[in-house]
Amino acid sequence: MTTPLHLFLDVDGGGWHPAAWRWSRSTPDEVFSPGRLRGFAVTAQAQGLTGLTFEDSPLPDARNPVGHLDAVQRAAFLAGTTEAVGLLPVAATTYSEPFHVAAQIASLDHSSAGRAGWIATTSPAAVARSVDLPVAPDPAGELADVVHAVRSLWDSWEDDAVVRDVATGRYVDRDRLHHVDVDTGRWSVKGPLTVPRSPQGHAVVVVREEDLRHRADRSTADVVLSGDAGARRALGGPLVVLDVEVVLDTDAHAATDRLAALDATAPAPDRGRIRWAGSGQALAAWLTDLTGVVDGVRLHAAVLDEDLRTLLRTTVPALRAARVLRPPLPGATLRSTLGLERPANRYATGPALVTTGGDPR
Amino acid sequence: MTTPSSGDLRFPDAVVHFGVFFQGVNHSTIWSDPRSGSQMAHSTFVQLVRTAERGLFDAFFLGEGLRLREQRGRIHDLDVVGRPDALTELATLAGLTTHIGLVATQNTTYNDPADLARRLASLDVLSGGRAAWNVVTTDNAWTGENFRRGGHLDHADRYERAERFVRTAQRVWDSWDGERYTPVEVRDGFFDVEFTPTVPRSPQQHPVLFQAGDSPAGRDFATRTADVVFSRHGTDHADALAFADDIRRRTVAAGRPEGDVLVLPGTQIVVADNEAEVEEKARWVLEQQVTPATALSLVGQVWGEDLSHLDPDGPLPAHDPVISVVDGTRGAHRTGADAVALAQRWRAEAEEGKFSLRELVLHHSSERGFAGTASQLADDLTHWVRTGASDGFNITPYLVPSGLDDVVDQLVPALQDRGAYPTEYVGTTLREHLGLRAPLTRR
Ligand SMILES: Cc1cc2nc3c(=O)[nH]c(=O)nc-3n(C[C@H](O)[C@H](O)[C@H](O)COP(=O)(O)O)c2cc1C
Repeated sequence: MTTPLHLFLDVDGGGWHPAAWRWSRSTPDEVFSPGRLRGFAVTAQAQGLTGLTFEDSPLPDARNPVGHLDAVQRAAFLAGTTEAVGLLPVAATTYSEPFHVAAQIASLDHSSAGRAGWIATTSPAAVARSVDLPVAPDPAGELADVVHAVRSLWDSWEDDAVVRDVATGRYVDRDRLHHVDVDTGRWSVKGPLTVPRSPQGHAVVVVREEDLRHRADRSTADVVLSGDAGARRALGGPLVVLDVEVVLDTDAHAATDRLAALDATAPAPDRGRIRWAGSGQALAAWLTDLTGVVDGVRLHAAVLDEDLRTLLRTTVPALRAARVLRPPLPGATLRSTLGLERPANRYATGPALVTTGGDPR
Repeated sequence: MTTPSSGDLRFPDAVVHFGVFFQGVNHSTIWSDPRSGSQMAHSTFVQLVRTAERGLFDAFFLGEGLRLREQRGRIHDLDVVGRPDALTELATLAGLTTHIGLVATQNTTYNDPADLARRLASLDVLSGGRAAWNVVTTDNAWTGENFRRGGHLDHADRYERAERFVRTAQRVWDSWDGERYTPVEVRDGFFDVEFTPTVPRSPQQHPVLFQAGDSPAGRDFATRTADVVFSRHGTDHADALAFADDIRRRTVAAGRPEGDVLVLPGTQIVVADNEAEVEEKARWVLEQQVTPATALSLVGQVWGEDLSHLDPDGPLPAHDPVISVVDGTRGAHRTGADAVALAQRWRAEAEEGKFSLRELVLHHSSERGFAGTASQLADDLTHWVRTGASDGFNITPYLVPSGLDDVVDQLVPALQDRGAYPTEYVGTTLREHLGLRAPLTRR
């Protein structure tokens, strides 16, 4: 059997191209509509994609001049009406409270029955300043510290802490709840979290390669988003997902013409990602060649309304026919879909309940 | 209760508004009953919110507490512990419902206004205008140990920070004019924010603002700022009426029309088929809520020591408490009370009524609310809203997730028969359900 290529799709605003919303069939209001978001999720799931990612920035940016809704809120909105696709929102580590982030992502993991990921990102100093929080002197170090604190909080409840022992009147076994006592000198977190340990133990932690302090910081990331197809060899540990911006041929226009027209409206900045233009079939052929080279690819559609159609009508069916995609099973956790182990609990006193990559439920 | 004559009814056409308060952490949820489901499972929340929506409830309400309760350094283990993050859970429920309002309790002390305003606005857009924010002020160093800022806020400053926090949030929500965002700049000693929002306005313009806090400062904050007060005055009619009158008076003093702030007390409702069953069921509920272990724990909070070795059916401790003030920082039941005076009063009452320790606690339990047949309750609740004691109720179900079934299946139809409850959702936004005017800053 071929190693599967995990396909992710980012759904944010009109698309990756800053001119997307002008070329989109959606009005600015429709870009934010919950129905449109749900439409993307249902289609992506039906087509066997591994996950949806939700990029975010609390401040306006060139990519998406229309705006953004909060990424965790968008992911959570889809949790109850999907059953197989992974949901991976951005939550920045530069200015967020680790306790809040840990609670939000753990809640998403509960309500999606174990399909949550967390794209932990640093954000520009302007963002921290704009929301009135201190700018971290070393954003990559801060990210590693925040991820460590969040993972500790996710372990602060052992899996079987809720005992509901009618005989003694105890709802929880307090010995299976733990203070985490993380102290970085700049901030500290006491714990335990207010949310019980979630189905995956830890949501899948995703970090952009440029946010990693050391290229092979295994304990920080489960998955690294990279713009470089050679990253897998260099990183060794985590799964590598290649970030690709695509522009595809449509019935009416060739990809290169569309890109030129989009750039003429608003030039796209270079985000250090591979940019791929061509037909849906050619994309499928290129992606097929990437199996074994990377573990997955995250596609950013130039104009979601247009490129997604081509993607779903030609690229994805071709990949499925070539058995390159292995669609997640309904009810499977994101970890088990990705072949990642369920983390053992660092505080567990008894034998760990589940230590292999099976579905823990 | 006496049947009021129509002359007593200041609001003869008023209807009852219902919300459901999923409290999570408390001792009013009977987790030990076989009918009680997981208190964390997503299916639990879905079942409860769907029942409430079927019953045309205005709102589904989540509480918040950002540290697990402890007593004398040990995590309190008798009650439900653990709950999802309110805004995240409500976003999921927004995807599974169409009309019911979604109220997130969020404090103003361990959040940042630009960030929280953005998340609330996102929920408001995703739900099509059904979001609300129950503004609370949680201020203690103990909760603060989970946050960067620690216990940074003096008690006296908390309502001032809350008010500036809400004002900043309102400016974030107001900065979208349908075409562009105006940057928000706030430098007021509490906040130093320069923020350009990215979230558009929802169909109800702003999330509805609830406030929960009972002190004079809290009431003034509510009547200057909020749309709805979530109160504790949901059992005794005279007490509720006095509270609602006070809110009306303060609302007018704040320069707003009299009925501009709705009052929705939290309460519990026990429905049964006849008088004998009502009595029996209410007693059962109370005894399940105040178990022997819970009674000992509550008395232990007042005495400031571990009393779990005592016999709950025996007398109260003969000695005085080892503390002078009931510890207010750790989720204690009677926060801030004079421990010795309270203990002496309790001992005197127990002696006079010949109460055991547990009977005394049952006697003082605050979880009473309403008990009756559907028809009695319908009369009672209609009387409450038509005399102006409240605008409705935020019901804490004593069983989760099935505890709202009899309210929806029996009480709601009885209220509808009396013309005191809507028969359909008239609008789609929470603001419409509650009959609220435009947000304060958009009038
Ligand atoms: C009915 C009611 C419900 C409350 N719910 C919460 C809650 O869920 N989370 C929280 O942190 N505080 C909650 N509070 C606490 C208040 O926000 C406030 O901190 C507290 O009542 C003390 O303020 P006060 O002196 O003005 O009453 C609640 C208060 C009331 C009256």
